[in-house]
Amino acid sequence: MIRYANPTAVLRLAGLLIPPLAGLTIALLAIGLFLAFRAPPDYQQGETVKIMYLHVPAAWLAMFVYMVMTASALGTLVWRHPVADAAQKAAAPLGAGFTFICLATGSLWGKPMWGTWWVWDARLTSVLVLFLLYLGLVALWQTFEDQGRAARAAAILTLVGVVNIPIIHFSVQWWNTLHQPASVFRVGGPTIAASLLWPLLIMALAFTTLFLTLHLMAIRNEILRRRLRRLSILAASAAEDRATAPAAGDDRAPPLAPARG
Amino acid sequence: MFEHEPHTDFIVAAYVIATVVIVSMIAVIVSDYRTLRRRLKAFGADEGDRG
Repeated sequence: MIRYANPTAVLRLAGLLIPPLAGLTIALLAIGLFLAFRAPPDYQQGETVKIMYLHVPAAWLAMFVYMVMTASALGTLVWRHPVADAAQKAAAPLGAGFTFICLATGSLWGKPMWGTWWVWDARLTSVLVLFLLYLGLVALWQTFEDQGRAARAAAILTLVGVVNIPIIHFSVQWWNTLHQPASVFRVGGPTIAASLLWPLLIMALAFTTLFLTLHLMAIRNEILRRRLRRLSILAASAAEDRATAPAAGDDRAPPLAPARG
Repeated sequence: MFEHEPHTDFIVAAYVIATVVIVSMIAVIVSDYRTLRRRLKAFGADEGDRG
């Protein structure tokens, strides 16, 4: 981990990992979608269950990305790891994207199955809160000029917001809700048929590798952005020095400001 | 595939929305990367992935 405190090492690692991860993502998405569209319809939901292959992986990723951001927030506040805040900043828009997919596909699944686009129950509302948290974090990064202060503020907000993750997970057990309880990761094993489970697991893996690929690409962008900012400041400072310093051997007084009026 | 499926529109809409969001995320990141590389090149400081 200390080795990757060096942004150059992270850039090298990203350059090494992004192509194979992107290839793996494309392969997994192709296999997952093929199996999803060949899977039999659900005995109650019919073909509408095809929405599950997008909705469930997006929901898992919405929470997984937040846990990645929480680990990065700890890296920023506790260990002051120089790349941790870049990782956190890079993850927030991706988390918002996956949460939006989860909410939109859930709504499109809910209308034909429940008869409504939306209900203010615990599961749906806590996921909406997660989406708003992601948007808030993206906005927070844009608010501060000083990126160090932005990183600390975003890390604190991330750590406060992590309380929402167990609420999302256990909401279907703690409260009455239209949303079904967990059917994959539960004590006693999955309740979902293997013919539907395998495409779902492959799609979940595809979404995970998609996130890892995009996250590495976004971290690389963030490191390059900081390098560009530093170079811009150095260039501006050098230009200012040149403008204010008298030319070598020039002992004349600096030119007067032009007379006005 | 969905001959007797009354909710085909919902399924298609879900896949279209997911595709649009994912493609947008990829496009934004790739476009940002190209812009940053171009601007770093202008500074003569672009060393690519070698940092």
